[in-house]
Amino acid sequence: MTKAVYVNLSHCIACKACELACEREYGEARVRVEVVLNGAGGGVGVPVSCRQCETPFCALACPENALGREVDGLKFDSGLCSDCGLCVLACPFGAIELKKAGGGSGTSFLNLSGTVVRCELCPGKETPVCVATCPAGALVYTDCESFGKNIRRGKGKKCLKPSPAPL
Amino acid sequence: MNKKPVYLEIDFDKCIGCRACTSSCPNGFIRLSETGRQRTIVFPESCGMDCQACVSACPEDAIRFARAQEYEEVRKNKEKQAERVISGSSEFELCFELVVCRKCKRPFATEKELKRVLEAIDAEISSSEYAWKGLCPSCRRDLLREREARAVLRVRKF
Amino acid sequence: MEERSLHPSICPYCSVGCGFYIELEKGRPVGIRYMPEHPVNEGALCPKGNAALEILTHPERLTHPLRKSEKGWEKLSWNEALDTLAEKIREVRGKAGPEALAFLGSAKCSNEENYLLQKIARMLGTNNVDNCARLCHASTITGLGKTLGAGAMTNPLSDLAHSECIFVVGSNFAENHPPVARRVLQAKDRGASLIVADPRLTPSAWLSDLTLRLRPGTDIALINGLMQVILAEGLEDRVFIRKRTVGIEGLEKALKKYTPKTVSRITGVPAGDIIKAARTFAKAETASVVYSMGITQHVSGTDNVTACADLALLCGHLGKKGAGILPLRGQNNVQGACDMGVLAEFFPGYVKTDRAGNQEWLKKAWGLEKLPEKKGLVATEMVDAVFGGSLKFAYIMGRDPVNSTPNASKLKKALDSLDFLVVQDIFLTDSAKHADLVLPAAAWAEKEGSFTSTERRIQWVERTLVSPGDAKPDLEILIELANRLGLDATYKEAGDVLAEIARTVPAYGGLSKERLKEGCGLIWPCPDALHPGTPILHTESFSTPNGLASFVPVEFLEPAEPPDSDYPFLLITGRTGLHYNAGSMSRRSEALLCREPELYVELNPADAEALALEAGTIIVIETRRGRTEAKARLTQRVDRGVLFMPFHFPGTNLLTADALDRESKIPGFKGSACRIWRR
Repeated sequence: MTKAVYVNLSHCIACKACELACEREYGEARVRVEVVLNGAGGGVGVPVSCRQCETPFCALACPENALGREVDGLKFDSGLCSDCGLCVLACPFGAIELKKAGGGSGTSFLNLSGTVVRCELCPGKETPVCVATCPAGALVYTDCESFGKNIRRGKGKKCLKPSPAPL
Repeated sequence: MNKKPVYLEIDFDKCIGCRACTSSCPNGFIRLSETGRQRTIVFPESCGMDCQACVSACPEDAIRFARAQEYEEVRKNKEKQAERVISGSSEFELCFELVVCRKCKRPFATEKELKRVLEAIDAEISSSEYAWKGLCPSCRRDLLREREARAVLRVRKF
Repeated sequence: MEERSLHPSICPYCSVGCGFYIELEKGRPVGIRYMPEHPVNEGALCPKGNAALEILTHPERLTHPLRKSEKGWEKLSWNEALDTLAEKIREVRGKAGPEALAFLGSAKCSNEENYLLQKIARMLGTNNVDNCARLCHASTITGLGKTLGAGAMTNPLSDLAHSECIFVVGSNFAENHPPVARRVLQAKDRGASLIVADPRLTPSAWLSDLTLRLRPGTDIALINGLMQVILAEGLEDRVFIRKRTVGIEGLEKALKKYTPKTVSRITGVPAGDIIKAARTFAKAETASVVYSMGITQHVSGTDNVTACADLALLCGHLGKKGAGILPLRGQNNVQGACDMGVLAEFFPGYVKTDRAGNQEWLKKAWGLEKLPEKKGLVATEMVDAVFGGSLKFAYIMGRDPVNSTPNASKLKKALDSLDFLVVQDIFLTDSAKHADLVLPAAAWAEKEGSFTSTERRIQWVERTLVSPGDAKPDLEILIELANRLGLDATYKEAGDVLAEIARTVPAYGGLSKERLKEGCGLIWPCPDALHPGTPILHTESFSTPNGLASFVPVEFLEPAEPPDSDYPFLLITGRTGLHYNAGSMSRRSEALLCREPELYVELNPADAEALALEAGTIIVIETRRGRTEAKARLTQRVDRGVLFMPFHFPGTNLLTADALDRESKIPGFKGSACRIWRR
């Protein structure tokens, strides 16, 4: 089963700890939290990061096959990435950003990676930092099925597969 | 080491104005800048380095390194197509008008980039009127947030 | 890759006391690792915790003692600085007596540092010692003191997860103590009800099952109303009341008039919601009352806290797991600073300075012949004492009163009127700018010592890093000063001071550096070396002389400064998730500042429309004390006629009122009448 970072929206307190943790770890945040208000004083924080789509549009748009779907998730090969930015434009969720490059000169030919900013679930870590830091326990690192079981139906549920017209 | 200049030939019809060549050039010879609604990519007329990183990075195979004897031909093509051959220097520019986000009105991509992306995902999109059409990444996040928040916000009435 | 090492530490920001590891490479802090095994935060950290390392390496850190001269700031050696300071203290004391000296402790400094500061003050002959608790929870000490006998949180934070009902009043825990939200949500996942009473629809209110949006300053009416319903419907815990309390008759009598209808008229909360909240709270097997500065920072602060205690007592929601009163304190060691007696009216361990016999006890403990007999000035009284000419010298350790004290313009004048002001801090704060002498202190991970969190958990923080330049741990500075003043301070390290604290303060009796270093701290009272600590207070009896808690009826009075035709709006203040108190740390943290860069004021869109103000307009806010500018945020989160401003930026406290609560002397920050216009 593919694991991803799921959000129990009814628990999010919009504190942005996940954003700061990610930024602290990687230099720039790969998850972005904003509050949505309902016009009656009510609000909810909604973190957005890569949803590890089953049919990833970013991978379809990638001319270099740097992004691709594998059994255990969406993989990114930074060595293949040419930083063209097309994946950014293909993601329906705005979950990929381009790192603001500090200019072309000085960039090593062999090190073209790191320019695409996308959540890779903290490779090498047991738990992604955003999940570990979440004070409210709103972020969960699990698979779709277990997440659905633990959440009341429809509440904050995040579908794994973006439908052809995801929104 | 005396390197022979190699002339850069860009197929202007193919070029979609993405960032691949700029980002891949190890020496920063290809520069991309954005002012208002315009993206400008500045190419050197020739390149002494023979790495051809830009050539392999270009998703449209729009860049070619021409040999010295092809110079005249390259120059003619360029004069026909380039937006501006910068006088007095050995550079030329290609300009793209940027599409503005339909919500926040900020420019975010070239028409050709969006077209290419759409072609790639076309088979997966059932209707041509998908909700995030014409939105910049930031506004797509907002759209997603609004949709996701709906169920929770329904009960947060005060 | 370089060898990296992990060092356990405790977050320097709020009072929750979260643990995490500092990751070091070549002695430099390079990262944070989470600590899932920590009993308080289970590894989680709020945004400020994640940014905690940023201030350590900030270029504005103070690195040398500084003296104000005509040419500006002049660098001094420690010897010069401490000699000057000792000389000045002797001079003022000789000329004007010890009462002319004032010492302000720091709720950001360790127990050992605070203990020594107040000891120095008292050995010099003055009780003019205080800490910033005066501005945040002084009314908790008085209000819970007279009802339960102890002015502290009764249960650990993790207990909240076992409450069936959580009643939150005047606390925006989701933003200000985020790990508390974790426990509240754990309780909710188990089916608990969350009731939030707040004039503002905060992220905490968003989580609630029932929100009571009361008019600012009507907390007593609301709580009295809840108690009236409980009594009228016979939902009180008769057995608990009979066995463990006194004074129910007085309360019953006083509450009669607080019918839901009357209370609804005063508070603006629908009568049905008042009844529903009362029933939910009373019928729960275990329920907790959580409050914070929305309760304490009022002219009626003590009464507000008393009402909270009465409510819990009435339903027997005390002395067991999941049932208690949880005042969420502010600073990481504000509980400890109070425990250490950095309060004008208390010696260490809340021993009253003016009660017969107490003098003798402390003289014996400290081996002194004389102690000050007169009750000291509290921080909020010191300002007038400066203008009256009786206060001439102030020593401020780790505190920024210019930004944290109400009616700040008056305070600034007072600081400038002092003969001599010394400020010991990690940055040249707005307060330090008024000083004659500035002493550079070590920051949180650069020194060792114990810190007491809001849940009374005493934790040891190790010295992990080296301070920049000549900056020194506060304890070292104080020891060197004490020795220059001829006072006995033969401590080699913080552990020695803790040993003395253990001998002096009974609740800390079982503590030692070694014991604290072993695990994740101990919860006081911990009277002896084998005692495991006491997570839940009042299980068998209350901390009063006869062991019984007292019901103390309190009456609702109209707020001190109601809006009128000249000042038609009511300004309330508070905190945001991304900043901290006076902002001297969080405004120097890039990751926090870039997300919340400037002062703002929240106002209702309907009010904005009436005044033709748009979102983002810079508006001027004026009260009877001052004027400030802020960017308008239009939001339904505040009601019509109410404005909200965070107090992390200079400006907000130019506006707030300095009228004091009679008993605790806490200022009524919440509720200043004001007027606004477009700049």
